[in-house]
Amino acid sequence: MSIYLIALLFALLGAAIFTIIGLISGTDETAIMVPITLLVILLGAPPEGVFAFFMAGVLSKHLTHAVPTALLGIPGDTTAVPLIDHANTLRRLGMPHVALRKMISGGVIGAFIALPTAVLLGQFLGQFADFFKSSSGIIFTLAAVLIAFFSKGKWASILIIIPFAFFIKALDSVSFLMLDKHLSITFFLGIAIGPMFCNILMAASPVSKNDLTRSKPNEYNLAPDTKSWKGYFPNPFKILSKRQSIFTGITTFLSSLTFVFSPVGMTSLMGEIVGSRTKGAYKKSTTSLTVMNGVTESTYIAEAIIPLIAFGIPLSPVALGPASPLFNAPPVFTVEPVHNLHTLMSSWDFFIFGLIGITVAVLIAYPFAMNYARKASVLVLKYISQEAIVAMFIGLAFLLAYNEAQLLGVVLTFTVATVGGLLNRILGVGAGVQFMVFYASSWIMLQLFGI
Amino acid sequence: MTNTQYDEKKNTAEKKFIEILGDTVSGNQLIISIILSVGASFLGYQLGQWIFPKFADPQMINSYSLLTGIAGILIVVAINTILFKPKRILVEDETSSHSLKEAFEDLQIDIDEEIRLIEEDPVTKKELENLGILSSLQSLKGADNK
Repeated sequence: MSIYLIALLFALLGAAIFTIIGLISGTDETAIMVPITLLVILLGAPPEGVFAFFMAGVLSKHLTHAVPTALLGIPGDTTAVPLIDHANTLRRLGMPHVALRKMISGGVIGAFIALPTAVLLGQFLGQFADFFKSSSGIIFTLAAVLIAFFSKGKWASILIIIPFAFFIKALDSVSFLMLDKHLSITFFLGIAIGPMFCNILMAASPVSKNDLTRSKPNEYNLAPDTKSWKGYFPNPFKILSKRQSIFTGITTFLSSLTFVFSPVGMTSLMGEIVGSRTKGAYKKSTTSLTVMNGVTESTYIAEAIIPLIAFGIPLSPVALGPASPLFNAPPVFTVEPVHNLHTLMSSWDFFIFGLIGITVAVLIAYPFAMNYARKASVLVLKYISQEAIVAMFIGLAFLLAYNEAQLLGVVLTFTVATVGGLLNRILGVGAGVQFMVFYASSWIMLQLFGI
Repeated sequence: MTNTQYDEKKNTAEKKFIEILGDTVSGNQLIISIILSVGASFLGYQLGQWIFPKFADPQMINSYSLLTGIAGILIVVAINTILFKPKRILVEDETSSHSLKEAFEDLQIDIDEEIRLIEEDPVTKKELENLGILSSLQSLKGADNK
């Protein structure tokens, strides 16, 4: 079977899975992307297939997570948080469907602009790759400090860098003693599911239980919907005004170049810049939403692709979180030595298979979200229980950890999840910081103790 | 104007819910779901480890076992979905021009100013007209001055 056909099938699979997952609101990006992408890699998918799967998955998820954001007023996941104010304005005005359509049309444009831009920039930065690779230890450490400072935990995040590096290194040494090999999937699965696991632990303790106890179920207000165009596949340029399309084009191009900042930060910034230049509540909200969702998409795609093409080591918030399996999924992909999509695919491959991924996502998720947003959210809210979803992800984490190192892997994952999750929930030390420290830990310990 | 009826929701008292990842769940049901899910993934994986060595390429045994593990998890997802119903209250909103006026007040938007800005911009005006929203907005004109 030709590699293009295989990539197409994986893209279809990614789009189908994540179109549905996107509808489930409040899901944590990293906790979901990491285990599922890992599975695809460990099951032996070719690199091109993995990449097409990832791109289709990311874009589909972002297109459908606009549904709970617009219709229910709760962020589809963390990247949708900055959009919630504008979405709520339109929802209060009885136009949540307008918000939804503007958002996802902006996202589609953003994706198609980000892909070529990111490939070209990655290609350009590639000439510095040797420098980055040879000094990756210190770069990871400096990046950890930087990301820590901009995380919610601020100084607390910086203070825990060395203790957390020590913790990681200690676990690594113990497990190396027992298995004679270094583990890594177990570590970052632990970091990824940390916040979810931490909630479960808190609920199990009488001391902290009260914070999480509710006397009645959550209430969701679902806004009405009206369809206003004919046919199945609406044209995004017709949904947007010319001005909105142009603004989205410019901002998504710019944000594709800034791959080291967090997508949430770029989204807020660009939304603010464009919003302040637009008058009238309706125009301001719709334009901001279009631009913001476009920027989220473009930053996200650029942050995954640029470090992949240029360095092969994860040097951006997205590469450290949701996209981390593309860099490091032993024994298939490794960072030391660099043996991952960076070495296995050319820039041209990234463009072609990325294009297959996002095109498939647009063909599946875009019309789906446009036509069936309301029906789909009613189905999810009425029939899919949160218990089943949480249990599924805990089960997946268990399975992957067990596959890497049997019982030791499971214990290790849940140890990291406990510590990482509590740091995350209580001190605001985000998953990105923890991933960065994980990569920096060897270098830090080598400098401090010579081991 | 303000005799909107609120249905007093019967507070299903004594029932305690726990908020996990932004949604409410029942603690006991969550524990059972997790045990089932972990158990199924373990059994599925072990089943794969037992069956596949008999005919599959030794390199692929772990990958295939992951697949049987996932199959186990998916079966449990279906079972959990049937056994445990979501703990959510779904309220379907309706928008009338009355609530629209209220919304403008809540959001502290000047209605006349908003309509003026929309009417000045032919693109936005056309867009709202096509959506069928323009007329209900215009009917609010001057509502602030009453």
